[in-house]
Amino acid sequence: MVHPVLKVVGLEKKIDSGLVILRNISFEINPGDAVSIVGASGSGKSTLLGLMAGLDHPSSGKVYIGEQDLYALSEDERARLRAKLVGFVFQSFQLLPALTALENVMLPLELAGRRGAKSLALDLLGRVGLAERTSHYPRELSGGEQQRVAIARAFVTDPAILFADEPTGNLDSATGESVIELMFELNREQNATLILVTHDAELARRCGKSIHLKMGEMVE
Amino acid sequence: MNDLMLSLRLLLREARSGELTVLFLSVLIAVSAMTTVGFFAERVKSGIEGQAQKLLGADIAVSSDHPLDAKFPEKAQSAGLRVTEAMHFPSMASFGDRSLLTAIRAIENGYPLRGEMKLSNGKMGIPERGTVWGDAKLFARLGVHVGDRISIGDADFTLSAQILDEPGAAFSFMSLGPGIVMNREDLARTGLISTGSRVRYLLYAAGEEGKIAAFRTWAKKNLGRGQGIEDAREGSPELRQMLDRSEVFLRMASLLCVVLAGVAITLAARRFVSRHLDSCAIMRVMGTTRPRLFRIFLLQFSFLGLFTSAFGILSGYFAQDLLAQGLSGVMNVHLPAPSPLPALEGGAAGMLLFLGFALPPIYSLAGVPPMHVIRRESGTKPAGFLPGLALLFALFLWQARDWKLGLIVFGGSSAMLAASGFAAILFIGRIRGGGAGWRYGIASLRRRSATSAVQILAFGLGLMAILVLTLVRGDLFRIWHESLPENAPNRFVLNIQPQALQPVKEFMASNGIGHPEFFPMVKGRLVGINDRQVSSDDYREMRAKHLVDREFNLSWASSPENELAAGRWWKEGEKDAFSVEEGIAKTLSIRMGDRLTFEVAGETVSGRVVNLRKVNWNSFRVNFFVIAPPSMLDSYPASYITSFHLPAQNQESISLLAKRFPTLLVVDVSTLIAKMQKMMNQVASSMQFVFLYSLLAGALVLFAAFASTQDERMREAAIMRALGADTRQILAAHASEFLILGIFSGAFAALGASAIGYFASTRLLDLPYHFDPQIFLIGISAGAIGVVLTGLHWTRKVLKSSPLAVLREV
Repeated sequence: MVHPVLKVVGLEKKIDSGLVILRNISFEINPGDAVSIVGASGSGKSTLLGLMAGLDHPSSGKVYIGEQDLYALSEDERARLRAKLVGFVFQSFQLLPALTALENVMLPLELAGRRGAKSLALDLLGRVGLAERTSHYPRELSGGEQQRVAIARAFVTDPAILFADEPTGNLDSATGESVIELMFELNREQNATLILVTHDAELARRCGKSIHLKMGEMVE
Repeated sequence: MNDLMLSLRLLLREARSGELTVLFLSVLIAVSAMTTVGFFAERVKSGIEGQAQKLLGADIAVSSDHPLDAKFPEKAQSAGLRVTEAMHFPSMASFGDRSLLTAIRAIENGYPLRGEMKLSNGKMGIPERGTVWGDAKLFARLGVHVGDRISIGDADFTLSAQILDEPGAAFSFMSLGPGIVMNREDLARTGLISTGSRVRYLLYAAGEEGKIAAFRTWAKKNLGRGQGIEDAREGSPELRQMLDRSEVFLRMASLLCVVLAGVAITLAARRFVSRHLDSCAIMRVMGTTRPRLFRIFLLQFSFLGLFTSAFGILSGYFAQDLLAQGLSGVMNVHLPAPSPLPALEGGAAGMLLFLGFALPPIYSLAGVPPMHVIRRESGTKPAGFLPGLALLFALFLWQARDWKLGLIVFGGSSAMLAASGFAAILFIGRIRGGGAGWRYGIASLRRRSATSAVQILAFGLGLMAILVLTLVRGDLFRIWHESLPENAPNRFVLNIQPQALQPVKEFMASNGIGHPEFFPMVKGRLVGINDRQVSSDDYREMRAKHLVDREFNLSWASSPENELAAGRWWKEGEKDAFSVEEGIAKTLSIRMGDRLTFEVAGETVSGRVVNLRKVNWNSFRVNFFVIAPPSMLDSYPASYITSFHLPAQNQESISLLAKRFPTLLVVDVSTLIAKMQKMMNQVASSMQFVFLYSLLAGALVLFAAFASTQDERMREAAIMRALGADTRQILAAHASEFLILGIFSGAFAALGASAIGYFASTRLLDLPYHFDPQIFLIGISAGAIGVVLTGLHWTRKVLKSSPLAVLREV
């Protein structure tokens, strides 16, 4: 029997004003799956993604990564778990402006205390086609290039789970497509679990499994 | 909707959302600091001057050796000043078979115009006709009691009260003898005033500062021979020096506040710009033109500036009032109400600072390309600092009211800012290595090297304010303290004849006075400098005229007592040489190598000036303007003088001395010293207060510097968190960044403080400056510890907030 790599049980998120963003969400994701989270704007997609990655606190419910109850851990323990198991790609890239492309990709390795950060990062930058731009700062790169750096940064730690929040949202369709290709390719090569939030119906179809959200609730 | 209404509405919206808080606070504290310093400095200054006026008994006095022309009192009265006249002269007073040389003041109604006479019988006003008042010395020396009859000239008077404290008595050596105060209308009865009497006629005047100044200008032009002006500030060189120095200090402190305010406003405006890029870009996308956007911001900021300045003035007024109340209790001096001028100055400076520093970034903000909406990196061009700097320079000159002071402080700090900023950028580019946290901290500094340099300078300026003020303040206080040590001489004994010298020395040694040094004194009149005959008409300055009219006390010595400012000391047996105090040399335009001729006991003695001496007149030691080698003067009739510190419990030995040697003149300067010390304490307290304000301004800069990078740090920390960084790693990243910032700021602050301290001490305060390498140690440690601790405290919010929320928000 396959153990799920990620399990969400009865997850709820309310904000101070009493507004319910997520209500009673439960599902399981198996290793190697590609799962899309779809829904209208404001349906709670990004909040769900953030909660699955341990970036926020749920009002109730649990998230398990492997056997580990994510919210039984402290903020720092969750961070260390992310450093080990999780990769991220954001809609707005979220590269650190102070660091070069290479340094941005090296950062998660350095944070995890891994050796050989530079050669691994160079290797991955080469694979996303940015071997020539390693010493450039984010402001010197185009949107597509920045997202490719972000993808290299996400995959460099060889994560078990890759979270992507609207990865093509800020890109034109051709660039978006090449970025998606790259993501799926790396996903296959590294046998990672891909969980992505998207508006793009075509992209959602490419994922084997979809979770539909409507007004904070899962719909079939 | 017109732009005015739109700006107001936007301003209110911004204010409600808390976006303007930092900007508001910077301007508020800046204006508040400036007006507080302005109000307070003005009040302390007039408080101290008021104290000095009380010592003079008026704001200004015109003195004359012959009856004053009626145009002087008429002019003063028509200018709206209060006036009263007095005559001072020496005369014998006798009681029974005892008589004594006394200093007599004949006064009329209204005296004193400032301060008051304190009498043993608690009465006020002036002596009734037929009565006189005497001071403690008179009572002691003449052995009289209240109610006794004493004779002055041809008339007898009832001694109706003892004077406990009187204005006008303090700062003149002449008046330190026994004093008598009489009604001027009784003067004719004494028959003492005739042609050739040594009478000083005085016209005292008091009133508003502007009217006094106008009268002073007029009187100066109308002075005749033997006439001069004394005012509170010219009355005594010691007092004048102290007032000047404290004024310089207060001005320096407020100038530092001005710079710090500018930095704080710049930083706050940067934060405002970075937070408004998005909304501006959207407004531009929606069709707002750049000029219109700028106009809207200009209006918004003008409203904010006006409101904040008004608020700052108000809070400044209350703050200074609170402090003034506390201080006037401690200082025991009445601080007069401030004029509205500092409020106007503070408000205007606040608006100017605000517009000069906030507008350039706002201008560039209005120019944000609409493309920014799509691509965040397409931000604005960095704003120019030139308008702010130019404005600051103008403010400097204005606040300093002195080109030299303004240029020194502004030039010094600008040069240092530029050099240090450049050095910081160079150095940051070269730091390498370390773990992920350290590496990230350095990378942040490097990428934002210009911003980092600005932050270093901002932190550094705050720290520099503290160091400069402790340094210069420390210097001032130390030197003042040294100039008036606890055991400063408080008694002078004059008129010791050569044959009495040995017995007096023996008496002092056996009666617990000790072995003070005795100096010979020969009276001589300066009659020639080189080939020129000297006359008081040659000089315009009153002090110079006095010096030439009076006899000099010349002395001789074989070794120097004072530090030489120029030239050399004489060899044994050398003749034809004089040593001159440098201050008097300047007053009388005497240069090294000049030949001076004195008339001593009917003969002329001449010699070349071979050296100039520095004399600390505040030391209360015996000092001489002119000294000659022993062989030049020791054949002339001399008397000896000495000074020593007499402890309070040893008063009896002085009475014994006076009884045993009746010809000696013993002068008690302990009251004078006590007054001087009280005054110094007042100055010190006021300075400490202004120092506090600079500290506040420095703290504000630190606050603004952290706040201006807060958003960026929050976002970056959230990304790092998402990538798996734990608290320790984020702390390490921040700590390494703050550590480098702190070390640099500390070094910069120490450098700046030393340089400014040096210039301020040597050029402005005329005090010797000793470079203290410890300041670097203190500066760097304080910078490193202070910035790391404050920085980590300030960024703790970064660690507490949810990464998801931050990534969405910012």
